[in-house]
Amino acid sequence: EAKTKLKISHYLPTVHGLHTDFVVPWAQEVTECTGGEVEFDIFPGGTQLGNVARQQEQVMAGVVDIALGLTGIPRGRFPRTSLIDMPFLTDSAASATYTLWSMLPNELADDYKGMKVLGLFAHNPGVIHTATKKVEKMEDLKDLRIRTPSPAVSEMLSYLGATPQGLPPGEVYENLQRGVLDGTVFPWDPVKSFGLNEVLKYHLEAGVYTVSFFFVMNERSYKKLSPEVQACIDKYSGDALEPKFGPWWDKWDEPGRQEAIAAGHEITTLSPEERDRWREALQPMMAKYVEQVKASGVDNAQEIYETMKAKVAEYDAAH
Amino acid sequence: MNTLKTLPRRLVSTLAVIGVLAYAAAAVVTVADIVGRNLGMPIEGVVDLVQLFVVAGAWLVMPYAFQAAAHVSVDFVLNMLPAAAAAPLKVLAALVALVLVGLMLWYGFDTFKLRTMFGDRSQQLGIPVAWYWYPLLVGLAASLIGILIQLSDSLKKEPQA
Amino acid sequence: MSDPTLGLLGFLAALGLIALGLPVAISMGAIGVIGYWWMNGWMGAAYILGSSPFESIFPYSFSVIPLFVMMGVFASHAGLSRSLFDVINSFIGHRRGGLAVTAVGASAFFGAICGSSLATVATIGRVALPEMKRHGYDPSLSTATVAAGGTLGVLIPPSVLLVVYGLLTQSSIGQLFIGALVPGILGALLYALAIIIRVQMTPSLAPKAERMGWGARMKFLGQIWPVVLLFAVVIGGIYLGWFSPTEAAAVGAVGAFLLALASGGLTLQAMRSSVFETAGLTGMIFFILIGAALFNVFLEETGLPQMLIEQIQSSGLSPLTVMVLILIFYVVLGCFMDSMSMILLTVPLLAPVALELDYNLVWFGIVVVTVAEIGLITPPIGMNLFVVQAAAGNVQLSTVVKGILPFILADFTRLVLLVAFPALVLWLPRAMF
Ligand code: NA
Ligand code: NA
Repeated sequence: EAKTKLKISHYLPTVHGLHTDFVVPWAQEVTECTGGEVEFDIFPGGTQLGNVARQQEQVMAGVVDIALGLTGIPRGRFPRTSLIDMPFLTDSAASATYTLWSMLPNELADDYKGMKVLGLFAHNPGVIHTATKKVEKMEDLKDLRIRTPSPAVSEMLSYLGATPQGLPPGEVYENLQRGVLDGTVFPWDPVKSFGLNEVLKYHLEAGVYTVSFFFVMNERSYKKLSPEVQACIDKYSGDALEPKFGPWWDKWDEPGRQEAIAAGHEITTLSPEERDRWREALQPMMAKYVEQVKASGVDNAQEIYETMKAKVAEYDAAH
Repeated sequence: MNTLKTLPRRLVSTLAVIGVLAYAAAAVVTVADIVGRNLGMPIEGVVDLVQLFVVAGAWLVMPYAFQAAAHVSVDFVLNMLPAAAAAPLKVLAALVALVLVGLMLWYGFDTFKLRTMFGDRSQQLGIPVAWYWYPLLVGLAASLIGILIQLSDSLKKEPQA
Repeated sequence: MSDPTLGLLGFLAALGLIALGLPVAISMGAIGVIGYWWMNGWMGAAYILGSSPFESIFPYSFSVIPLFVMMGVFASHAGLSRSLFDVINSFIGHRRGGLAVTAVGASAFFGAICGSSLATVATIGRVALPEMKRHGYDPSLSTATVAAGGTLGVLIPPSVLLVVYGLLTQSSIGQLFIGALVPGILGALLYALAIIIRVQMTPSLAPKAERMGWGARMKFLGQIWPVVLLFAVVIGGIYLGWFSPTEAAAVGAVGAFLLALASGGLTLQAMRSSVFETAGLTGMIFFILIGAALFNVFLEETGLPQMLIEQIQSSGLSPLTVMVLILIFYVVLGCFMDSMSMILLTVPLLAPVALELDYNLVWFGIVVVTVAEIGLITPPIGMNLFVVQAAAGNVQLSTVVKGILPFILADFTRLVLLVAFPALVLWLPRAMF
């Protein structure tokens, strides 16, 4: 029988790669490393502790010891980190994850007071999926009703002429099928897990946005552990995790993309000229977003954004 | 004296009417969006609005459900007991309800402060999350009154043995 | 003490408080909080108390609950139930037991625009009971017919209970609705058969009534277009892609209100009772959702659902045996509990078991709701029995209970058919999606 039981919560279904490839093996590795002294109970999505909007709060309140959640839901909880959500900033999960992790000690530290950060990461750039209308250029988005995952993406879509619609991911299928939605922005992996390829036909790999995640531990729970156990947790977290997320997301996204190809869907890549036009159109939105973050008490929001751009460039140059 | 008696009931009924009106608003906004989107005039942030109206309605009708004893319960044990033994059980039920609802209100207020301090807003329209919480605070507080009214009604109904 | 044992104790404690007359929602909530406190200390319990009530009402998809309730309440006050009864009666009322079969038919059709069983009993009871009394029907037949007919309101879509089940198990509400159609109609047919057999055996229960001419029949047929229209728009709209099932509830509520207004049945008094009826019913349902959330957060913490699955897997029982045991458990529980509370209390525990045994969750939902319905008409605690007794006035509960047995037998027959032939449930959703 383990001496210490720690609770981990996250909001994803147990079939998701984040659960099967990341959280579960991570917990097993740490348990083994401690010689069975620490064991983990995992509360995934669908359980009462699996609400996407409550992950940060649950760790802060000590209801769970460790949580995996989205930095953007509810909005405004991680203002510095959320700058990574800005359109056209990153083009892969790997570069975004590198950027976030390398900026944690300095620029992003203030977002995580009272928390021991075990990992920060982001997914591969989102794809614009549509059911009946093909999107190739900005004008094609006009008045399309698109489901959005975050406020930053909502705002971006508005600037591009679409009508953003916030909806729980579980309702996307039904609404696409009935034509209530024209499309959705998602990376490839939920397209597969929610069966959306059945109701979609066109996919525009526009590389416009990403969404960031945190994997954090309650600081008091961490400090209560023996130095040996702490060392085990450290060994499998942070620097050890950072390089894994790029390949993981590629692996998780691939089945959704393959399924679409097999179904004969049309997958388009946004042309470089068109990409420049979109970026141009989004300038005012980006400026406004930085201003909002500044107004929430982050005086150096502009600098953080510039550093992010520099880090992404640094990563891309090295790979 | 008379106002003192009717005022709590009137408060609870008024909240119930406002709550049902909020439901109606949710229905109307949804229908307007269905019609509007076919004419190219969808309602922006309809999900945020429907959620706000339904949440408001749900919490504001709650005190009435307590007052009218609409909550499902099983009374065959109560019915088998003599009135003298039934009364204490009714008081116990009301006490448990008061404590539970009271604790929800107390700690709900803490959560309300936390969420508003963070400046949480609804996903699309950016409605401050406080607006989703006021109905909860009002509804739970008035539910305490509803529970007391129901207890007093049910004790009166019983012929004292 | 191991954690799953704690979960089992909590379950029994909640049942104990319910037996003592505490409202189901309060019992579940109180035990949930106390159990969570015991396991995690007060800090954790305080967080759950402060956040769970808010979250358990918050989801957008819950908007269907109040809106489907409103739809039924307004439809009833618009006199739609009266016109349904009249038209069926004009065709079959003159046959022996015809009025009772009419009441079942009217319940089934009214169920198609009303999401709740109690509302169906109250509504049809207001119309059908005086009519059967006037024609000398035995009260044990008439009241039991209305009580049983009410259960059709739960299964025939739209159904608040199916919505709650869909939300709990994250299965498609659209598929649940369409899957419930055949079992619902089957239920109505079996009830009719039960009545016919019963009056053949004891003709004195149901004297024959006068036959109506084609003129009267046509006149009544002309009056039911609002019901047909409302049902066609709501259910048809979902499948033609005009709106999502969540939005359909709003269309139904607005439609029923407009019809009530047009029919002239919406007096100030009717308006007032509609509003308070809606307030009471929805306040009750939402508070049960809160109580269930508090209870389930504790139950998950104990690991009881997980252990149950592992036990059943290692028991070597066949999936069919397990399913039969589950259904027997529901029938027993249904003697003492209300269907909504029963579903909220047990589905988080049993749906994972069903899934593990490779049962389809839509099928399981329909079957569970069917058994939960039986609970509405089984003594000692059957909500429909109470409501119909109140509606009839001057009738003993024992009189109602005396007449209910044939309907319970009809329900068991239906249950056996659904378990033996899952296609009865699954064929339509598979054909349509
Ligand atoms: Na129904
Ligand atoms: Na029963």
